Amino acid sequence: MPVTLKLCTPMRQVAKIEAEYIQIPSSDGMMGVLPNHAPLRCVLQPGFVTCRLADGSEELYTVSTGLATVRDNEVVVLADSAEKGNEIDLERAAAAKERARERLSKMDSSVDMDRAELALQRSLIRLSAADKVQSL
Amino acid sequence: MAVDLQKLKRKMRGVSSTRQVTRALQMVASMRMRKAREQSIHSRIYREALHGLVETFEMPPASVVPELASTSTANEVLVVTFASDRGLCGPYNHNVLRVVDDMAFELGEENVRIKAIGIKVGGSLRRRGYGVLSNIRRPDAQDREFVLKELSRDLLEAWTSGRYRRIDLVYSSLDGMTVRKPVAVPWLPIPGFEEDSEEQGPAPVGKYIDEPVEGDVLRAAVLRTLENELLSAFLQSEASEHVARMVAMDNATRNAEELFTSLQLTYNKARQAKITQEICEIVAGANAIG
Repeated sequence: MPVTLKLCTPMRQVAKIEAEYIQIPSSDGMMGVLPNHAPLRCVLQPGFVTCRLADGSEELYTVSTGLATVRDNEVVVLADSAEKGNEIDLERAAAAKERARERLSKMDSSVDMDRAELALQRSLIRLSAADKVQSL
Repeated sequence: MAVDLQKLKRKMRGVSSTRQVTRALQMVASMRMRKAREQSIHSRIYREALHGLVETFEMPPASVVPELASTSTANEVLVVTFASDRGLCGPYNHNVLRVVDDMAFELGEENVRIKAIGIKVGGSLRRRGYGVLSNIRRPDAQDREFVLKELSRDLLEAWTSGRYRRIDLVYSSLDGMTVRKPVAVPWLPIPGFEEDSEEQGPAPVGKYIDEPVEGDVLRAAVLRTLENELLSAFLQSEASEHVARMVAMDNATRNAEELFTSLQLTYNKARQAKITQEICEIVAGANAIG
């Protein structure tokens, strides 16, 4: 009887695996889940979600904060973000955040797009006006 | 009928090139729509699981997020509009404007404040004299998480200031391939804030182990639900924008094609008439001589 891990983030389903044993980083500490575990709800702390599969291999995911439920041999992890593997690239995440802040505070340079769009809008209006005149 | 053949030819060229552009925009919108719909579907898995989790609790949200209680003296409504940055999408943005106008009609314009995502609507509302608190472009995939987090934080701050009696989200959702007209979806106050919810989940409520404690889990779930509703509004408005643009560009392409055909007909007739006239002149001339 396997335990199923469903690992989701707000944007995608990261994993759906059948395992013999699953470990999740609960706020009260690492929690192991075997088949027929009692129903549980927990807040997660950042850490690793690991699964030991039937063939003995292990799957590992890195999760940030989130929530998890255990019920009916299903472990549903709702992580704020998650990635396969154990690479937490903090530097890259910090750099991305900085870029985002910069981009938002800068004046945007989409003048060309706006001009092109206006030009197209004008010609569409002309088109429909011409169409009406034709049909008179 | 003296029709300027040159002018007609020029017009035909103009129409033809417009058609090329509208057709290209339609195809781009189609690709983007597909991607946006996929994202919407993927995010639904999380949303439904989160909702399922919240349903397993009996305690009312009021007990875990007391700071989100309504203020009885609040008069104003804060509206978050989700619209587009670019036009050429038919009545998409106009429909969002209408919802805001209807609210202003009902509540009084001075009681409506707006945070706009998507500058087409933000700009229009500002020009009409509405109290637009912020007007930002839609963030792209990289910035989206950050922007929505900030938005959530700003909205919660606004709520706890006690100034608003409601915070609504206005956006166009997608029903299959049909764009639904936008409506104002309530965000705060949380429905059933003070009430115990009836046991809804399949597992008996109260029989869960909670870590750290039941209240903490529910609080985390409720706050995430609020954030997720913003994400959902954003993704749905994205998908519906692209569908609206597809439809608008498709219509424009068809109009251009029809006009081109009719111009071509006119041109050919005129050309033939001209040739006929020239022949007549030649024949008349020949007859005059011989």
